[in-house]
Amino acid sequence: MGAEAVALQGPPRINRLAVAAVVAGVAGPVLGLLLWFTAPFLGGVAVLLGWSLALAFGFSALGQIRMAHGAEAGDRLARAGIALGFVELGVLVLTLLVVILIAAPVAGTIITGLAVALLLALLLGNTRLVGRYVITTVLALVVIFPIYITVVNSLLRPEQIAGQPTPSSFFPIHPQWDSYGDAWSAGHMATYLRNSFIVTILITVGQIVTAVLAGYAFAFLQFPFKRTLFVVFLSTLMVPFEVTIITNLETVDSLGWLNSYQGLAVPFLATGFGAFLLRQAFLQVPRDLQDAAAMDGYGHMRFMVRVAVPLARPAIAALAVFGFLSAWNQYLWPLLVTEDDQYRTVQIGLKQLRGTQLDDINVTFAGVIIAAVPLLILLIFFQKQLVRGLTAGAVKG
Amino acid sequence: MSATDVVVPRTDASAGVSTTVARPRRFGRRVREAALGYLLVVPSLLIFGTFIIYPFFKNFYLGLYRNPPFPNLPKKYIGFEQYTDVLTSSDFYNSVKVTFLFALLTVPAGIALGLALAVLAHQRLKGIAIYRTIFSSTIATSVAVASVIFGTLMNPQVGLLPWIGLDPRPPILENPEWALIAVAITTIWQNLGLSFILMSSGLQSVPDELLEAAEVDGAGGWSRFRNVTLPLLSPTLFFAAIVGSIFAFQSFGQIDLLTEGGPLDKTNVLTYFVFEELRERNNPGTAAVLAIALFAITLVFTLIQMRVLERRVFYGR
Repeated sequence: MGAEAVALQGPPRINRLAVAAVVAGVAGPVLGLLLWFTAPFLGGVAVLLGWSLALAFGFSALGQIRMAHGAEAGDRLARAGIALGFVELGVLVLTLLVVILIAAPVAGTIITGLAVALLLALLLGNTRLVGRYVITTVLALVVIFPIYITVVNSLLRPEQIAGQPTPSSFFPIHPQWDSYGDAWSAGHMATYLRNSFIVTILITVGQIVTAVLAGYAFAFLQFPFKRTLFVVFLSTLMVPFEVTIITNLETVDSLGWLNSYQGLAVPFLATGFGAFLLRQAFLQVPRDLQDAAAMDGYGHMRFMVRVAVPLARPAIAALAVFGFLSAWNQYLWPLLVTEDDQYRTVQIGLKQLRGTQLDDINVTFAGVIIAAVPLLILLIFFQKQLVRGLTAGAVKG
Repeated sequence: MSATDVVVPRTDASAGVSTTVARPRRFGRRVREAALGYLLVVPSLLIFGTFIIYPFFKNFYLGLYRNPPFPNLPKKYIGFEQYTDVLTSSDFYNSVKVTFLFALLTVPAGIALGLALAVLAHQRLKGIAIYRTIFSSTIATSVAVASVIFGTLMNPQVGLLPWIGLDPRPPILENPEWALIAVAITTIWQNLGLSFILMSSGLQSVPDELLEAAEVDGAGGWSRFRNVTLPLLSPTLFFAAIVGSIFAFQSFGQIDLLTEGGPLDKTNVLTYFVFEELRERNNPGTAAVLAIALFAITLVFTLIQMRVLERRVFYGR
């Protein structure tokens, strides 16, 4: 079809638009250079007009030629115009970006990103797809920025952090790792971390044990006042912990548990949520299994440990991750019951660390990263369990 | 028909056996089962009783006594006077207002942003897993981590506000108009990962076939979102609104780390007010009244939300 069209019309005529494209592409920068010294503004306009016309003419010429002659007709001139336009665009954008990046790093980064996206959109010819990536990427950058800048700041010297941003404010060219060492030993982060781990593991294990026991009782056993007790369990979920601190503080004090792991952990060793979650999981255990186990002479405890608990593993994992997360993040209670650095948890440790002078601001940032890493690891390895734990309430209503 | 004929005599037989032979043992088994049941429930019940139920009711008692201005003096019974004093004070009124304002600033925005990110991450794009990880990443931050990060970023000396063209002076956290908003932004960011994960799992339960069917019927992107996705997502949104509000009412760490209730009590939420009365003013009586108020407000607001919102929830099936 294309070949026929060419044959009918004879040798390809020179497309006027293509010529215009090349002319514009050449004239723009030449005029711009000439005018730069006398009238920089006009010169700039000339360059801008040059590349935009080169591109516009070039593309429409290409379109015309393709319409008339098919894809293979002599459109080299048009292509040359387009290429010129792109090269000029590239040079222009690059210059602009360098200027902006030096003057305003934040805006510069944003504009650079947009420019790259625009280029990709033009090259791939799929604006929608690129647009989606752009929006998603921009939001991802916004979400991650505070964490990123914390990492960067933890690697800078304190005097580099304050004041006007420089390129190294975004990327530490000479990272200073000793802030982590300072936070770890001088900032007591090692002690705080150890305390947090001890308390968190105590709470998590305790919650699992009490939830398995209570959940089993509610799912498999018959006893008077079972329903009433279950309602009591659920109603504990209605009482915010903040409401109970006044008396709890007294209780823990009278037990002599201030500044101790017991004081930090014991009030949280059982949750209504856990008992509820495990009860629901145990109710899913098939009746047949129970009967079979009874035939084999399994008592309740053996059935619980050998059959019910393994079957309820997903729920237990969800409870474990959820319990770990909330125990690790506790703030108010550790603040109330610890006054001794020896027993402070990471969250309160951060408050202490921040209290130090601004000269050690990089150490504070390092401490923040140290405090966040355990949960980050947890999130990476146990994402599925976490989601299940978090949404258990949403799904079951 | 024949099956029932076979089954009936067998159940009769087995029932007969158990009634004649195992009656005393069955009674013993029942008692033992009940005993085991109580034994399994007791550990949890002990914790609940000591650290939730008892302190909860003790609040009502504590509220009846006024604490002496100096320690070591006996506290004085003043009956309900303390309740009326505290609950009619302008400090209490302000604190309730701030608490609700804080919830209003954080909960809807948190849900909307989480939903927006979840919708974006729900697309079939290459490398979307990376974006999902980034969007859920703030779940690894605790209240303290988020507060220290944002507190430092908003600090006039070392902060980044000048970078985005904002004047860091007077310090944003000491500015009565902006402090609560700054705390709210910190909170929204910290909870964004949670909100995103919740909304994502909600979106995953929206069947693709329904969306495809809507597309075939000519529904555009927005219309599909509005008329198919949102209704199916409403249980998740409902849950997020309720739990989010409860969370917001209990927020404490970010206030303590960022503003300590100031400036001019503009960020003095109820939890912080309780803490202040208890710790700084050493006044458990007032703190107890405030704690009861916090409980009542949370409860009533949750019930109202359930009433109002549940009507709009579409449970399907």
